[in-house]
Amino acid sequence: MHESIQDGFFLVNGVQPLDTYALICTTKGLYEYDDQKNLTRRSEDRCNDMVFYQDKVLFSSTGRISEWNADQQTVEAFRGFNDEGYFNSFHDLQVVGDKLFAITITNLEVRI
Amino acid sequence: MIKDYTAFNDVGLETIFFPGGPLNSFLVSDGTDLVYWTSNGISSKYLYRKVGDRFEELINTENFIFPFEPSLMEEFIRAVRSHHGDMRFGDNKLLMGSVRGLFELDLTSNPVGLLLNVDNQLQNNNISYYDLNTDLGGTSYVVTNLNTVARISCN
Repeated sequence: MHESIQDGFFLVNGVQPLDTYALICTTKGLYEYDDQKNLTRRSEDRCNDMVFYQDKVLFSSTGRISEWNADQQTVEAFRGFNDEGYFNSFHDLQVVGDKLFAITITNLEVRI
Repeated sequence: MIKDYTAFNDVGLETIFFPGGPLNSFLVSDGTDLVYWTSNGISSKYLYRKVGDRFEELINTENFIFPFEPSLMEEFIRAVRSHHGDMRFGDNKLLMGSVRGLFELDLTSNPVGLLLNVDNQLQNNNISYYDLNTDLGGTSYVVTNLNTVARISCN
């Protein structure tokens, strides 16, 4: 299966399959790809990675970690996460047990 | 090389410092264990495993001695010295995606061994592997750098 995103050159950094659609994380934002093969950009923030954590889809971008609101089909600030002071870009995300790990451009950080 | 956690603040965020910083760094977990790979620039290429609250070094490619075919090792070193994209666990193995192919590591051997270049077997070596997603029925959901999402079975 190949599906093309026709919006200039960019990197695709992650795919998260959900019930009836998939979220596609790219350097030009977060896209929703539905079962009718429609592609809709839901966020213009650069998306570096996505994880499934505590029933939420989280994605990382410059200075913040956000979550996907499936009901509203919008992107919101991750609950309880204060991005003040984060001048770095968040990159890879991973969940280990009940912990979320995130890499910034300078350090590996751990959220419990 | 073992790195300690350093308390970051009082709300549960902690920071681990690695030599040279983790540009182009990647994390993978099987749900209990965590492996961390850093590939910043040309000089620092480390693979760590989290043991308890510490990280232990598994690979330092600057001292790279693996018991397998030299040509495959050279191919792997070229891959890790390129920008690489993602990692996934599976059956005590580690799948590593890169712009030079898809590689499989055996984490149970000491030193860590390279099993094969999966990409060559798939004959898809023109693809860059930026995301490996195994949530779909045991297949690898592979993302390329050509504005394209490709789904490729590794079974």
